[in-house]
Amino acid sequence: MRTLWRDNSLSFVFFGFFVAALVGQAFAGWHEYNNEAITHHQETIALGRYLVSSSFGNAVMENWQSEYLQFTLYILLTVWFVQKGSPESKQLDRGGTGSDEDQRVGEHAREDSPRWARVRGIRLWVYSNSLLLVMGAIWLGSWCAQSITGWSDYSADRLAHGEPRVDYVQYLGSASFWESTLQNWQSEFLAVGSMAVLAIYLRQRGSPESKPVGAPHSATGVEG
Amino acid sequence: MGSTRAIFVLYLLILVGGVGFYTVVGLTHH
Repeated sequence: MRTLWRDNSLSFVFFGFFVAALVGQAFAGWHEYNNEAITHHQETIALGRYLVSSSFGNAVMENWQSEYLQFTLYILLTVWFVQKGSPESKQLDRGGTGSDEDQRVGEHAREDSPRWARVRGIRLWVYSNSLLLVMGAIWLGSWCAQSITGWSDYSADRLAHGEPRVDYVQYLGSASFWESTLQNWQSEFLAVGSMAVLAIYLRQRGSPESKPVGAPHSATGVEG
Repeated sequence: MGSTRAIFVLYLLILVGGVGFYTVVGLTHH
């Protein structure tokens, strides 16, 4: 049990935070939903019903997609783009996907390398890009789910106000969809950019996200 | 590594399950 915690404490802590925040969001969102319903002289709903509503799904998916876009872009862009002095960046002359020798693939693979790193062809390509592919798929999937739940919620809202339904494609061009999408993107882009930049001059002793406290400001791609 | 793999699978299931579930919720106009 102690080994389980020692080996995986970071994943457990974040999982706990995720569940606690999601439960909090569900209760707060449910109250807000029912407050709105009372204001509009509509029926209130049970918590169980709210959890399977487009309203709640939309709120969850909207935030998921922007987080996964952020990480997908960060994984992709840091292959080629660099920032002098940032621990989040590779060294300045290391841009690109690296040689097979550096990446320990094919005949350069070692005894303990993953199986798909030792083969050639499509399997090696898939495994070489698997983190980006999966994070990108979650981004596109959750963005798609945001758009569908948003459309459903938006249509229900229009019906309640006696306005005609819009079709899915019309919703994709609506100000409502793009406002909810871009308000999340802008904050993620700023946060991830500032993380790369602030860590040039600032430090957190002990964190792998920071350079060692005594590392020079110009040191790039060095972890604490 | 067994428990680490289980956590990896748990995270993936939450992601795929969450996206799949709310896609269906939206499509059925709930």
